[in-house]
Amino acid sequence: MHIHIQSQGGVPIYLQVMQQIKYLVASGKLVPGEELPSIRTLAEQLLVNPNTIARAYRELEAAGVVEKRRTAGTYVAETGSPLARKERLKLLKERIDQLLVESFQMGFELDDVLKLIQQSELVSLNKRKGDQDHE
Amino acid sequence: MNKSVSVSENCVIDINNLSRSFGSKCALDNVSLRVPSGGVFALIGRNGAGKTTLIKHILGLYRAEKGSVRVFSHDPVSHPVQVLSRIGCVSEDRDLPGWMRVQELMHFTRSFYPAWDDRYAEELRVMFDLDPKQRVDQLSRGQGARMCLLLALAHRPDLLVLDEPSSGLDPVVRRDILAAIVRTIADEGRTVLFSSHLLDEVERVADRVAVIHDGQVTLQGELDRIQESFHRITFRFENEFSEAPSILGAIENNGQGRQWTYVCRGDREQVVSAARTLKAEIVQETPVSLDDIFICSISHD
Amino acid sequence: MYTISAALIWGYWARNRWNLLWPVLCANLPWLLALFLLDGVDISTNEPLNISLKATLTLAAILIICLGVIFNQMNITHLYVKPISTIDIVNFFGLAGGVLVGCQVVLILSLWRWLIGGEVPVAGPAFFSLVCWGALLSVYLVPTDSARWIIGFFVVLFGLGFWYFSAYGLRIGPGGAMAASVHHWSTISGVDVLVGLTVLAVSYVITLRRVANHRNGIPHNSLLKRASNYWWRIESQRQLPHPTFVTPDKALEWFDRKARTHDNVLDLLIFMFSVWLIALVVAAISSPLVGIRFALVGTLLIIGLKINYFILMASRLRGYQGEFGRDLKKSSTNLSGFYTRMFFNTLPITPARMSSALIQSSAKTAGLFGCLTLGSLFALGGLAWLVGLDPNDLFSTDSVRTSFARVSLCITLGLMFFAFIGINYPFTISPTGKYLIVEYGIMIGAILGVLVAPKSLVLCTVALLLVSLLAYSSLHCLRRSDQSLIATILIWFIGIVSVPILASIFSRDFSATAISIATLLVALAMFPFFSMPAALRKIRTN
Repeated sequence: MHIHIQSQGGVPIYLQVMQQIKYLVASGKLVPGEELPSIRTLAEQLLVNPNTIARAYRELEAAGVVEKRRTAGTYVAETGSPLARKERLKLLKERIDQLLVESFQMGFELDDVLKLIQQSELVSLNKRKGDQDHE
Repeated sequence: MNKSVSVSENCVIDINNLSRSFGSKCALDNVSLRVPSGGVFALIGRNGAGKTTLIKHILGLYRAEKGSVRVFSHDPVSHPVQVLSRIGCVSEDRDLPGWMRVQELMHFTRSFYPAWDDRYAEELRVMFDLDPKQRVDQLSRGQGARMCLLLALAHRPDLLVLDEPSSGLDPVVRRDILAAIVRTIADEGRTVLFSSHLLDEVERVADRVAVIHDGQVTLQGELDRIQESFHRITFRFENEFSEAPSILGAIENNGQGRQWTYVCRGDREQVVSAARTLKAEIVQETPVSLDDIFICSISHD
Repeated sequence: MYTISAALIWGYWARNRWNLLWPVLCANLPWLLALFLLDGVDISTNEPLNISLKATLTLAAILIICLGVIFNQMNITHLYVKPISTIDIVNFFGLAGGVLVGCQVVLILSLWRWLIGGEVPVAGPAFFSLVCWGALLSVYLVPTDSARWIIGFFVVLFGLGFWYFSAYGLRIGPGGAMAASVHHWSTISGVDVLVGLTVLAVSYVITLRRVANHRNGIPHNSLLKRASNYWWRIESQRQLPHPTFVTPDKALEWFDRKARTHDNVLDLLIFMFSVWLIALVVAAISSPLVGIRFALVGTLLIIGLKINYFILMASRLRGYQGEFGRDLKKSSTNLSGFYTRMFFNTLPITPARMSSALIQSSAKTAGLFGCLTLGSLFALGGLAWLVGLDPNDLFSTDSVRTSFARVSLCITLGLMFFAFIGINYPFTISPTGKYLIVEYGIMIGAILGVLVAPKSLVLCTVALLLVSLLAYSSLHCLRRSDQSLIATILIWFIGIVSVPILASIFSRDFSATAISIATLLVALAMFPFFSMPAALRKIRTN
């Protein structure tokens, strides 16, 4: 599991860990049921305090992204769980907020943004079709 | 009634109102510090702020002029053996006897610590890639630091004290040191105290920090809480200003023209409402890095 | 004045001020010891034995001063990156050191002339000391990691020694050297000047070349260096003996023997063997008596120098900044010993146990030297007896008959005490580890006292003073529980009992002088037991 921590960026480390794990889950790089590294292992790998990792895991568990099993370790939660979906929605919403703020600052209207989204969708659809044709 | 007792029982280091002067120079001024067991405590400060002096008091190398120092509930000056046998320390100047070989030094040090773990020491030696037959004064700087670290870790001390451990070392050795810190406190009940002015390292591994400036502790507490209590807000004002409009509660300010950035601690609402009365709106809010927190705390107290 | 030489001289003065004083005091020790041990023998007469004694003591003093100046020199590599030519560097070191050496020698010899009375040559030995300095500089100025320096020192010492003694007329001729030719070195002959200048010139060239090579980083690729590299490689490949220490005391004692007290006598044995070889040659040329005497003097000189050497190394003379009157901690940070470093101060061991380990190791080393001395003296005595000589002749002169056994024992005991006291001196110097001014005061007072009062009175006073300081130190030690009451009583008992025993060895009758000397030695030797824990504690905690 590849996580990159940037200290001194102002963002608390536990938050960085949480965000990256969330992203990995949301993008499918971590599949439901997959085991996350133990707190100690991840702490040694990233060279951060184990309490920080513990806090990240705790909050991820509270958010329903991961679950702790009594036998051993922490595992990625099933996507069907309503909390997990709520988390993914939250992640998406953050991205959209950012997009909207930037576009308004650049002077675009909502219609322009929507049009651009539709155009991009078409392009990526064609691209996927093209890849399928090649196969 | 018994709460204060249990707090100090949990404390590995308990320093109360410690003062120390060298001639006319006051090195420590009424310093109080509590290091609870089982965490990483970082002392940060500029060069010459008093970090090393404080650490030497903890190790019993300085006698407390005023105030008291208790480590494991003992005075390190009058009970050196009880205190020092549970401490492993790595100092900035690696004062090892140069003519000894690595293995001889390990054997020598081993006889002083009943808790020395031979297997673990050997494991560390292999991991640090130290040739047992090599003389200590022929070790490179990084290897010398690793040797010091080995000697400090091999007896599994309850308290690991590091005084500017990364000074002058390359990033590879620094990782070793950080890894040692992380591994130490991953074991139950062990504590790490280290002093550093490399704040990115502090941010990674510290649970609690204390900022020392000119012999005084200006900030002390859990790192997470401290970081959360600082805010940096950028406002966009309607009018242009040549100097930052003063806002009550703000510690630092920066910017030009219409856009001004303020750093505040704790009084976010007060600052925001004060800005609103000056007809400003929030443009951006960014987290404050430890560097900035440090600079704030030493310039405004 | 901002010239380079002015800056360098200022630097020397600023750093080494008090070192100008210490070698002078130290160089007087062998003489003081000899005087006291001879117990009233008048050495101001012109008897051959007295002359050779004076010559030997003068040589020892010169060597001590030269070594003292060498050890307190600035590190030459600091000058390499400065805009100063190599010739200027060598000139600076040579001249500055030479001036120091010359002045100190003249000072000491004038002092002796005033104190001993009789003739004490100053000009000859002073000239010799300058030549000696130049020669030693060529060996020592540049640090070298090959074994060459031992050979170099040896060659220099013996070559120069030969010249020195022949200037006193102590030549090896048929029938023995104790002939009428022995005289004081009162005039510097033309031959002397020639020899001296030649040696100086050759040394200068060698020094220049070595410094230039060192500065340019050209390594010596001598045979010796290759041999020592080879030896190091073999040594690092063989299995290291595992010193397993059962207790921290044993670990510290081992460390101390290796680091501070130097129980390594290999170089001593090599030197002594060479001296005996030369003695053999001497005996063949002149007479067995002369040969054996040569071996005696040579052996004692070597052992004495070795003891001086590591006392210099282990004591405050090395890099001593002369914090006159300040705390022990301040000045002890300039000790070359390890015990001021953080590594040792954070080891979990009480000062009392550390002190006992250090004392044990120094006692062992002193014992080792004692055995070596006694062994070689008796070997030589036995050799003399085998050859048909009367051993008692070896130390006797025409006027004074001495017993060989007694003198040997005296010398051995003297050297043992000297070694033990000297090694521990940095830790013993004040009763509670607090004030240095006490022992400076006593020393200077004693030296001045010798000038005005009869020797025995001064000795008695100093001995009494030391005993009271010792008592104070013992009480302080008991109060801090550094020694148990039983141990204290035992040490005092042994001390008190050994005083009359020693006094009887030193002189046939229980003269006041002998008893005072014995008390002095015993008291000084007892000091470390009580004041070292306090000193170590003071070093650790400031």
